Amino acid sequence: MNGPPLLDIVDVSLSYRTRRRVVRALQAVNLSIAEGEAVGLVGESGSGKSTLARAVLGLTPAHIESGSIRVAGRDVTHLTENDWVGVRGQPIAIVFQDPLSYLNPVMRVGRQIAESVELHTPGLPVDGRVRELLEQVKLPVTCAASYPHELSGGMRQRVLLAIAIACRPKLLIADEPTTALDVTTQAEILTLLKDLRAQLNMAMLLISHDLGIVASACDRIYVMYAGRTIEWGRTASVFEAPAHPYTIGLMHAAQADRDRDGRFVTIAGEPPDLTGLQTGCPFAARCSRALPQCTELMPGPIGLELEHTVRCWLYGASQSAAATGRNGAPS
Amino acid sequence: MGRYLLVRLGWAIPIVLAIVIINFMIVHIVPGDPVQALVGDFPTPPGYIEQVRQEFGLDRPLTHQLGLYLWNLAHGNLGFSFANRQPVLGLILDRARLTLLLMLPALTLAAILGIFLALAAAPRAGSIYDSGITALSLVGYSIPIFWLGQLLVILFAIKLKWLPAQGMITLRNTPTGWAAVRDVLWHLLLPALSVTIFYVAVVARVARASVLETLSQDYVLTARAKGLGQRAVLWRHVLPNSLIPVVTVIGYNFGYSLTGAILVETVFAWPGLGNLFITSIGNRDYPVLQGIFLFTAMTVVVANVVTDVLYGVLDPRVRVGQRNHA
Amino acid sequence: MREFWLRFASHRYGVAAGFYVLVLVLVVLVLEVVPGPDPHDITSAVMRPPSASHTLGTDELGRDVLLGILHGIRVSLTVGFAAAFGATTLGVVVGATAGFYGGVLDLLFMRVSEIFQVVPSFILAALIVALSGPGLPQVVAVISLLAWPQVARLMRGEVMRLKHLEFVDAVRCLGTREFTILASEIIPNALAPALAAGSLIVGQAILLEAALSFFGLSSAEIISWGRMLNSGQRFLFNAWWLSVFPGAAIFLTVLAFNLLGDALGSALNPRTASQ
Repeated sequence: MNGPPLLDIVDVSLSYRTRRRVVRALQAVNLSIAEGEAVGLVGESGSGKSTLARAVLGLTPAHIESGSIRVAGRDVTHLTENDWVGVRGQPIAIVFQDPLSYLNPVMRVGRQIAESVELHTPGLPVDGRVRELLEQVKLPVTCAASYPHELSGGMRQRVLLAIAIACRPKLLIADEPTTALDVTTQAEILTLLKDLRAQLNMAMLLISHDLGIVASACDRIYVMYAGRTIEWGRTASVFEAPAHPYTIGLMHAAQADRDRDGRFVTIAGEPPDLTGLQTGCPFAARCSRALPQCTELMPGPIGLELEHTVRCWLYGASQSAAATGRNGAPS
Repeated sequence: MGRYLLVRLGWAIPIVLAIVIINFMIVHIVPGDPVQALVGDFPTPPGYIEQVRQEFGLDRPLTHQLGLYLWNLAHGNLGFSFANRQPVLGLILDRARLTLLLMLPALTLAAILGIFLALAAAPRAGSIYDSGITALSLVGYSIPIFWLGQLLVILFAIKLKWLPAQGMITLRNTPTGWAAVRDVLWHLLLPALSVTIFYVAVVARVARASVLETLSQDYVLTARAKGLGQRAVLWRHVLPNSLIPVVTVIGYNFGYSLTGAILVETVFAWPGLGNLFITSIGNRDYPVLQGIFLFTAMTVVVANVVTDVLYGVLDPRVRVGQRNHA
Repeated sequence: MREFWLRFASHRYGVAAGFYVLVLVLVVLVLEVVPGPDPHDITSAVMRPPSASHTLGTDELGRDVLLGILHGIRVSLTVGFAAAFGATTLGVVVGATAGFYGGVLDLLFMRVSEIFQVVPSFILAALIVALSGPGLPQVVAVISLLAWPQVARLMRGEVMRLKHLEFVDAVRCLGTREFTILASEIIPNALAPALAAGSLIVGQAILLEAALSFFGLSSAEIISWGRMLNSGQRFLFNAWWLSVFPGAAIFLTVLAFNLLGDALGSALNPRTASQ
């Protein structure tokens, strides 16, 4: 894997500004994806994972205040709307959750796929390509003439996938692709994603609050909390030996672990308010193992074993909080 | 789609019936001799009043009269207008054509203008341009249309002398052939403009709200994420979706614009239904007034059904289930 | 309550409109007490354009236009408020009943209100007034009759929304009768949109009355702005001031009530406060 990473997010901070307040959605986030990799992004609602995904394609109204985002070496941090057209779809495509609201209700599904085809592979016979795409996502070709409301949830999600891969993307971002679906359909879509990745040699950023999904599909994962990436590394490493107390809590909750008294192990407290200035680690208030410096300073990245990094004072004494070391990307 | 249409037509029938009955009842509810209302105040040949009494069975029980009335209606007999020396139905149809001639171009122009204004303003929400539309809307809702017409006449016809002030055709040296068509169009301009300005307000307000709402929809995000340029997003995704409430608003407000056209005609002496209405009021030609009421109400019912159909065409989701009337 | 006034005060145009309406009411009251010069006075200063002695000009009988406009406020406000009051009262009662009890009542209501939606109001009003003779009571009655469905529909919607909320069940558990629930719990909470609609109806009523007068369907002895436009129509070519000023009065007044209604509407509804 030579050359610049496909997606390189360096120290990005991003805020939403309304008339009354400022919401710091992302703070000093670092993330990178190489060609062909499958990376997972995990966190609860409000952790900033969707915001990050949209920021990569310039689809948020928010301001990137510091840091930079590079796509295949190109700096896209401050692009104009016109310039974004060269990034969206190809090389990066995105698929959203809840496909009913993400498809134009008055346009036939085939036409919506065809739009992608015309945009990114002009010159190809459109009808043929649409049929090909439908087959790739395992949809009956007759679907093309249907309207979104006439299809089931799983079928609509496949349509969104078809629209995305029509762009021949190098990176597919899937933002909670299975959350709105039932369990059986979830599994189908995940298998489809795996197959498509292999067929098209696509990298993938899979975003979810469901650890199980991410575990099976991704090579590396990032854990986000309150707009920050707090732990990341190879999936196996993170799952076998979760370092950050938040990650540990997540694992317990996901496996429905019980404690000595038979009660479910949960994470106490509530997610923090993202407005206003934050010093220190955002998880400190809920952390059962918080140290005095946790509320003062946000720890920098601390490397554990190879390709497993965490931002937590428990693992490193007096590391400078301002250190903006690069995360462990596979070399 | 067929089923949807049938259901809508089904609902229309009791309404039509109700209107017809209201029309019938008005004459009997209102103080005064019903014969007067049926004949009007115009001097009539002797014995006619007796004839009318017989014909309408005014000395018979109410239900009998209703039956006669419906029978007459079914045969297209809406009475006779002495002031105009014509059967009422024919008279109304003649004049209605001219009112429609006034309305349709005005409505079309208002619709197109309103939508364009909204499309142009939406991306600039909150700007002066946008506030301008809201202001225009407010003005349109508050202004008496006949006053607007008077202002236009005073400005363009009297002070500036650019356009004719009254009528449909030039009375002196009436042109023929193609020149006649141009002449009519020339006379059409000001009255149609009044209706247009009046109506753009209604359209622009709904169109703006609709466009703003559509812009925040998720599928617009999908369209942008594909890499579609702003223009294409607006035209292919925003416009068709935001058009739906606009079309329905225009269609369901047809009665409103019809009333507007009728009011404006008096100012311009445009020989349509409005003119007929006001002269009949002066002549106390009640059968004509009743006839106009019936005709306009029916037209609105038809417009509603047509709009329902159009709604079904534009929005495929509607064809499946029952639409909410709330 | 205070919150409501604060929100209302943030709508500059609404507040300005409110002041305008107050001024109008003031003028009417003042004129009741201190009649001043008679607007019906026929003078020899016939058809004069606006000047120092007659600020807005005179008509074909030498009557002062400004005086006419000031006296015309009375008719407009009377018709406006009376019709809005009638329509709102009727609308609130019918709408709340239909929304709360549902069933056949509701179905009946929906069909009836559809009929009123379809019938062109001006034409029906003109027809009735033409048949029964001009007079303010008829006009007010007709307008109320045509406008109540709007209020009723809003009321029905609100009541239907509220009756499913938990606080209603809570009160029901206390054993209160259904009717009392409707009257003391639901209606007060549902009034807000109805009141805002009421202000808009005042504007509609004024326009409708003006249209009727313009068509000659009002009493010649009562000065009304619409009637002035009717005379103005005859003299469009030589006396523009007979049409421009009375019409402007109608426009400004209706505009004020519309602005007021919008401001009241968003002040009463905290959810839409930020436009």
